[in-house]
Amino acid sequence: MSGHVHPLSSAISRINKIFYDLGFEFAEGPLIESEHYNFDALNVPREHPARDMQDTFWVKGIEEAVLRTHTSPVQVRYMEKHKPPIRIIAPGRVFRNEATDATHEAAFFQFEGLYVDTQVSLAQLKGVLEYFFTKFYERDITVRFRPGYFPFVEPGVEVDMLFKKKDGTKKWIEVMGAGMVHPNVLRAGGLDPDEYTGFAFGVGLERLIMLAAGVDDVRLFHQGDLRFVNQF
Amino acid sequence: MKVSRKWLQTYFDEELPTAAELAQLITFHAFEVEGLEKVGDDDIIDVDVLPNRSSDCLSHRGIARELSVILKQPMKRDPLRVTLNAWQEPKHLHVVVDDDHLCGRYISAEVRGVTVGPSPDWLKEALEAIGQRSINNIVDATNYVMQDLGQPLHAFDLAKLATDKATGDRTIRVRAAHENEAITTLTGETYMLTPEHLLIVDDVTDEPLALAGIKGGKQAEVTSNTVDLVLESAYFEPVSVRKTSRALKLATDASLRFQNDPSPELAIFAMHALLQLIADIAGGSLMGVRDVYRGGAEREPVRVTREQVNALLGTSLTHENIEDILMRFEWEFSRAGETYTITAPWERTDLTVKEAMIEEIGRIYGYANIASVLPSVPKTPPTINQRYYYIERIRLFLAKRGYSEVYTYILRDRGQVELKNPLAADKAFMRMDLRDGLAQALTLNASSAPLLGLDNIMLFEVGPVFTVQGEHLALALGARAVRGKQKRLDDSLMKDLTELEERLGCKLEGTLADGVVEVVLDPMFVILPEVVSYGEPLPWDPDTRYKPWSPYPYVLRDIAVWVPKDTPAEEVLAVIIHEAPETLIRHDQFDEFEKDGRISYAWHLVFQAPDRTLTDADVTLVMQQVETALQKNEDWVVR
Repeated sequence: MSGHVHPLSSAISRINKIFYDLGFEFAEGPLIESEHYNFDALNVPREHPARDMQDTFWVKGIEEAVLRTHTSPVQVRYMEKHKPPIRIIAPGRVFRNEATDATHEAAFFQFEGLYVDTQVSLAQLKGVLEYFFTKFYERDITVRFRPGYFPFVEPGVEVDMLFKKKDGTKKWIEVMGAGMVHPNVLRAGGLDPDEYTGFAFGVGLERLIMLAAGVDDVRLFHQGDLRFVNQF
Repeated sequence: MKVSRKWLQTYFDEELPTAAELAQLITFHAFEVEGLEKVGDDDIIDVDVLPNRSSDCLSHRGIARELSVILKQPMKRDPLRVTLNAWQEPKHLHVVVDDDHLCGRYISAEVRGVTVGPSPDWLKEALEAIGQRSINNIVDATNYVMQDLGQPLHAFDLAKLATDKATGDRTIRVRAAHENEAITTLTGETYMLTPEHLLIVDDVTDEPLALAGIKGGKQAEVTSNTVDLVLESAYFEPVSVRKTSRALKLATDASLRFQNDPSPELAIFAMHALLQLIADIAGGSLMGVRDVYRGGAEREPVRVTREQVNALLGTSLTHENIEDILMRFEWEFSRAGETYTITAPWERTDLTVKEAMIEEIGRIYGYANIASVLPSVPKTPPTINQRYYYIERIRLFLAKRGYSEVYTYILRDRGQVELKNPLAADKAFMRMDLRDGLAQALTLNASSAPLLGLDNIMLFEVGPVFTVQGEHLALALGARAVRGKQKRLDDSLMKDLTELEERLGCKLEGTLADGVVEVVLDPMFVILPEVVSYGEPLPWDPDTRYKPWSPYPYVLRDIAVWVPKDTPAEEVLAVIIHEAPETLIRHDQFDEFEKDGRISYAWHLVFQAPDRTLTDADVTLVMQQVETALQKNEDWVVR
């Protein structure tokens, strides 16, 4: 009798396959992250109100160490070691110090996408996201952008996708934040913003699966319960 | 920020679109809208103004400016572009600022002979519509101008400031608090301060009057008896305001605005508006305005070319398109050939790089007009992530061996890496192994084994663990028998681990305890051969629909039936299911044998209700019905 692979593992595998075909490498970074990579290098200055946007866990005994609040630190770590063109995805755990409920979990999965080259555009971001969602959900999906703010991108956008349910009804659903990499972030990664531009996005993985499979509680992913896992 | 449509209308001659239409326009060109609400004959739009625009858009004027650009309708008035009065300085009111870094500007006005009383209806209604409480005409005026222009303001009762014995003058001072100095705020709470905190004080008595940029004090409160006023419009250093507000856990409309660094220029325009409003609704006469200002930063023009705009957005905007948008913003700009030189207005402190200008152009042009373009795929395939490749192979191998994968909690009640600010005591550490979580998962799942139709619970997890040495990647396998006497399956665990070793071609040093074998995988990745392509991705069905399970307990029953040997099991099962359509949630056939021309089938049956606890009696009744139905067939015998 065959066992079941966890839906998060399956989703990561599938995401990796889709982005591999577009030339994206699977990159990783540490979960215990320095304040530098988690905030400073991402254009979130100290004592800036933007720091309040993500509730942070701090680690005892290590100077300026946090549990990374997003997968974005991988952007700068990767830029420091590689010359453009850079195309990466970075799936992994992230942490938020907020009370848990059906839509919030203190530790959850995100994946980051980053593309840096001599001429990268918001139009390409749209193209890549539509390609990804269409492959991931195996149905035609269009996305739209709304103005958004994340300190590490400029312009910053909120991304909605037009999700077609099995019964044929369609609905716009907010899925992620994205934008064009802020020049300060490129600089922090050792790249010249006059030479290179890039796009980046970050998306919650559980949510992508919840939308497809109709899961109503994010905590189910982390409880080790086969009543959940074995449905996939 | 709650924004009133009626209030916004005061900025335009033409009738604004409906609140729903405004919300749409704001959503797609400026900010997220959190909600719409009808209050009396007004509509309130809750606009989520984020930190990058909190310096200018936590105000009706800021939102009106956005709408003016989006709707291509000029504003009929703009309080930030008025010609300021040439005020005299008050003769008997002075201002001393100790540190012009912490307080870059302090404007103080003296107004005598006002009539404090209830606000006029329009003012009350305007404030109440956006959820503010009306207090009196003076306090309401300061609040109104803040909600209108984004500048926090304060009014003191002049009579409550002491006079210098020699001169008879009053002096406001902005200074750091003394160690252990206390202030009691307008609402009666007392805060103990340190020199980190900035105060507005009465220089004659050295008594605190207000927590700078955060909240006024009780000392010089404006009441119904107040006749003379000292008005404050200032600029305080954002980091200092933020630190104090956090340290005292005191967040106010004022601190929210100051910590987002509005322009110090705003202070004087807000004072202008406040003086006018107070004169209108409370009378009195202005004795003078004192402005202690260290000077604002030079506004640097930003240069951007049309090519840069189009390259970043992926558009093909013409000069006409771009100039149209810049004119709608009413920004100072010039163009030489392809290059625009744009000077943002002083209140837009956020516009310092060309990418920010491109964003402004892009959002007004409309992101909906941006095409979808797939970048070309490079000829050389990307590097393979060796670690991930092997993790995926391990997952696939173990799933094929019958193990199901779980993700257990990474924040736990013990470990070697501790958090400074945990959510709860049992989530204060990063896990140091997978064993703990996996052993708990074995127990959890053993109790629901019949629901899953499993005789053995076999689990694995791959994931990070944390020790004093750092982050490691670990693999753990666990197994537990649910039926039979022997619960431990240690031998089969070790056998499966050995087979995994053989498959990978590398030794895995596992430690076995609590029915779980755990391996740190890091050394393995160094040894294993490099691969040049990923295998097939892990199985995934995008059409899988999750079904919630009942939180109520289940009841088990077995049933065995003799039937003539040509009777298929499905036929028997159909009768059983028919009798218990709602509560029979699972059946697993566990036996089948022939004897004397008859065949015996046996099933484990699992009963559970979605909405209640099934009692033993409930299930016994169902089983009786099942048996009766089965025995209606001649030659069928329930054993």
